[in-house]
Amino acid sequence: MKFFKTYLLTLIALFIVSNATAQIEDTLIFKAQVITGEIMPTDASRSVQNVRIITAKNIERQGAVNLKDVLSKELNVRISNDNILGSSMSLQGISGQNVKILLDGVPLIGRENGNIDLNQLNLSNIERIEIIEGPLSVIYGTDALGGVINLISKKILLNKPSLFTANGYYETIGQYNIGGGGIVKLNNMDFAANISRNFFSGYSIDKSSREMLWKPKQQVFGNFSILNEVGKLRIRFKTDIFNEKIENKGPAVVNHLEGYAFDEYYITNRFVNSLSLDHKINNNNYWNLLSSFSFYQRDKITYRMDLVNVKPELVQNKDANSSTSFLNFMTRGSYNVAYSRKFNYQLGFDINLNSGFGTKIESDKGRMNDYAMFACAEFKQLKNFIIKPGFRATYNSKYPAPFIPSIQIQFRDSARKNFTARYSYGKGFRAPSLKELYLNFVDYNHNIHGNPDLRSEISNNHNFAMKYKLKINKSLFFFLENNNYYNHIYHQIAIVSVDPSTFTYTYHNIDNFKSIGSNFNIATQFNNWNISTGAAMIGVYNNAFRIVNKSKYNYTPEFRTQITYSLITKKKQTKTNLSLYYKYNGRNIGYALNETRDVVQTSIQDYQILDLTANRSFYNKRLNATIGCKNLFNIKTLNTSGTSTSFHSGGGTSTPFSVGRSLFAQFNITI
Amino acid sequence: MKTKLIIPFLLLTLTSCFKKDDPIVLPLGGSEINSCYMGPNYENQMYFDLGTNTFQQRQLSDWDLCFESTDNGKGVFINSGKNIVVRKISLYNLNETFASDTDFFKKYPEMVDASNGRTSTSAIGDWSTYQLPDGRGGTIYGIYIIELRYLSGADRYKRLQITGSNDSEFSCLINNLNTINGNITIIPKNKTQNYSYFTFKNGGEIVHNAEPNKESWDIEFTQYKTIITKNTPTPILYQVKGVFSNPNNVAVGIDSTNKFEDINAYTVASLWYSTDRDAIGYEWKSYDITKGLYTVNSKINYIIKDTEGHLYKLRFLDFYDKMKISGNPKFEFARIK
Repeated sequence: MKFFKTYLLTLIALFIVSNATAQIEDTLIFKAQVITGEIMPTDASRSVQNVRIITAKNIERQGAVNLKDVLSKELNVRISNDNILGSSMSLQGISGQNVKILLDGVPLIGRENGNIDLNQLNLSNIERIEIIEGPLSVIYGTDALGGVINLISKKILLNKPSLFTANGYYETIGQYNIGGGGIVKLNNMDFAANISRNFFSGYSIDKSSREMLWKPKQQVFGNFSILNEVGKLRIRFKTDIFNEKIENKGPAVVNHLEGYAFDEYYITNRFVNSLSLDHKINNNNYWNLLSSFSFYQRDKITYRMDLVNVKPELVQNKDANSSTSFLNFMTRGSYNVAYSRKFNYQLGFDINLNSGFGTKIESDKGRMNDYAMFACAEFKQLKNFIIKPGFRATYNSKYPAPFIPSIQIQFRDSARKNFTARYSYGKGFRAPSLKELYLNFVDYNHNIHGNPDLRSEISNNHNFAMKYKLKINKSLFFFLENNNYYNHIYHQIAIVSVDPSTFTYTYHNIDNFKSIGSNFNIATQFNNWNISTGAAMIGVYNNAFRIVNKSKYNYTPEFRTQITYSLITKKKQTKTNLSLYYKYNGRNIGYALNETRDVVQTSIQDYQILDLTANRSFYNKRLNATIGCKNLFNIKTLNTSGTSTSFHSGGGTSTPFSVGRSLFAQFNITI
Repeated sequence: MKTKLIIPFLLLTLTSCFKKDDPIVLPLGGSEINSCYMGPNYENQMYFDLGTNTFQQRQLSDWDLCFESTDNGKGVFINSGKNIVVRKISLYNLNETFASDTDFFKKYPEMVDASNGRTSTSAIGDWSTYQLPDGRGGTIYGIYIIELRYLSGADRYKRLQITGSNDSEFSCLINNLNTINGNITIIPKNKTQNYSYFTFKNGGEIVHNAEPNKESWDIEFTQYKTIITKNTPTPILYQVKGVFSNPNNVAVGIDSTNKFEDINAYTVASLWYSTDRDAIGYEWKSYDITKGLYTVNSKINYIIKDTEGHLYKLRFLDFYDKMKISGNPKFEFARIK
């Protein structure tokens, strides 16, 4: 109760203190607005930081269902899959636990093994995805060390009284998705609600086995929001709910006396409530406040299924049934002032109250409160330059939080408006998670303990990006882009084996991580063609380079191309788009210590993803349909070598990648 | 149009649900099914007799070394279920003064027994012809440093010199590392067991009943160390939970092609049998470290010639009990000859 009171009082106090403003940005090269980490909503071209935007249109053309589908085709992003924990990512070689994922600015909680399962983020109600590489810890605090991914949901202020949508998706691997929703205007307020269900029926190579390699999964997504504009104050209340059930059937044990199996169910619930207030007081003052309450729970339930009578019986064993919950209260507010044409600033605060409890967390210890103030300013005194310094000061109840400075510099040729260069330096940090501090996971097969003395991981990131618009003639442009980065993470937290014979592990700040990389992109649009292609080289520091006498960095090349050909009607309307999405991920090499403390090379093979899609609208764009083929090269597993866990299984050394080649059909109806 | 639009929605909703199990019909059979509990830390050694379908329980922690008790037996083995390693050192006179620090011998390689139970691949090996690296050669009985890694402090290190063996006993010098003079310890060969057992507890003593009568059991469920070479670039020493066979006339063959029900005396006639102690071993199950889950492979059938000379077929069914607690191997077996 005290926890709630503290939170409410702080919230009210800060709300009163807050005041506010805005400034309207001018010309653009890329006609998209960015809000993540900005003082004001800004055009992508004017944003001081380098932002990648993926629009709903692009999502739909790809036939992408969740965030994993989209990210797997992006440069600098690598996806790995686990049949139960789901899909996790790395960005610029940095693992997903250092990437902050936001849903309308609200940090998502519920990290399993440090990662948010990307399959749990449905895109059917998403307007766009903003990806910012490099730390945004000044504004977003912990975890935003490798980057930030902000999912921005559709919010339509209607010109008509109501709008209803329905969508469906079928994929031949056994994926069935269905959803619908609507927006209604009542008393000048927009009420929106959506619900959808994604179901995957599971996949197994041996059809006779009740065990599935890819587990059957049901996901239900729902959201409800109210949007109201009172003068220049925009208020939005939103509730997002998520429920997932994964079925993991065990092998059948059958003999002449009995037939049974142990079946596990993983049930995840996530609930996010948020209230956002945006107030443009006048052209120069703007404030916003975002408060959220998030709840996440994951349960594992085990049944002993009697296969003769088909009767499940709950296994009364605490190791077979576990539950972990996390609660987060977040309030982030900022006061934004356009002091003059040449100077803007932003003052803000960010409060995060976290608590975690469950069978795997040591009791009464799972609380962590984080209070932060941040400030950013934009100086435009120098012609063509914008200089944006910022800092964040934090008090954390569990560990000494670092002081975070950052600086971003943008050069833009204001006369020709065709060249932009950006440099940014940022310090980032990741707080030790409650799990890393207080995990207490002991059963017959695990013995993992948290370490309450952990410090936070700290990083330095340097980023240098250039964009150039090359105009050949009136209708032919090329957008050239080059992006270079260097990341250095100190005190990285790693799980350390204390005693291999008893599987005892704990966490320590032992690792030192570096990544370096460069990528080039070229995009063009002419006649009916829209082409974007790029190549990247990601180098991850090799901690063992002195021992194995290899190079300091292990480099992985990537290549990506997206081509869309649009069939344009006589009335110059686009009706059909044919698209190709291709990505090549190079061989991923690393070095690790095995059980005998020898350095061994680990690797994951290179692979290619190719998707082909056709998208067409009907009935005056009221029906939109996409069909296509995903994973044309039919990649199912990736060969790995040198992983320390491989000998346990006795099987081959490969990691699951996907179910394989599939055909899909998707439709959206708007009435 | 509206009705047509409803059809795909209906299809997407109705065809997608978790699949329910169909009831199965149990196969016919008359084989025996039994299981045992190896303890929360796998500290139980469960000796099983196929003929009487009974277990006898002993504790793994009771002993450290065992000495082969057959007439000509010279083998000395360590309890590989416990954390013990052995080093051979070049000093041959146990009464020579050792440096007081314990680091001088650490340059010698750590050794453990191979899990097959053969003297030639044990850590101590053939102690009676131990050649010294300085070329002095001859039949010199070398010194072994036994490191009891489950202990700390001065008691962790023991000096062992085996000075002789005959039909009825072993004689050895056993000391702490910081003690110079010691008395000869006589370990009588217990002929009712395969080995005579010794513990360093209480200054060192013989353990009389660490193994049941060797005629009364065929296989033993225990944890032990083995060297894993499969799916790993370098061999890994690993603690496993598995099955040893009785060195007293038990032999084991493996049939992974025939179904358990179809195996009879004729199908196993040309099978190759192994007398290695780990012929059954641990590979009838696999362990997924990330999920912490054991999976038993019931398609591997073991054909066991028991101490009485009868032939049995055996397969493993599970490693969990009803409460899903691991360390509960369940198996099915039947006599075929």
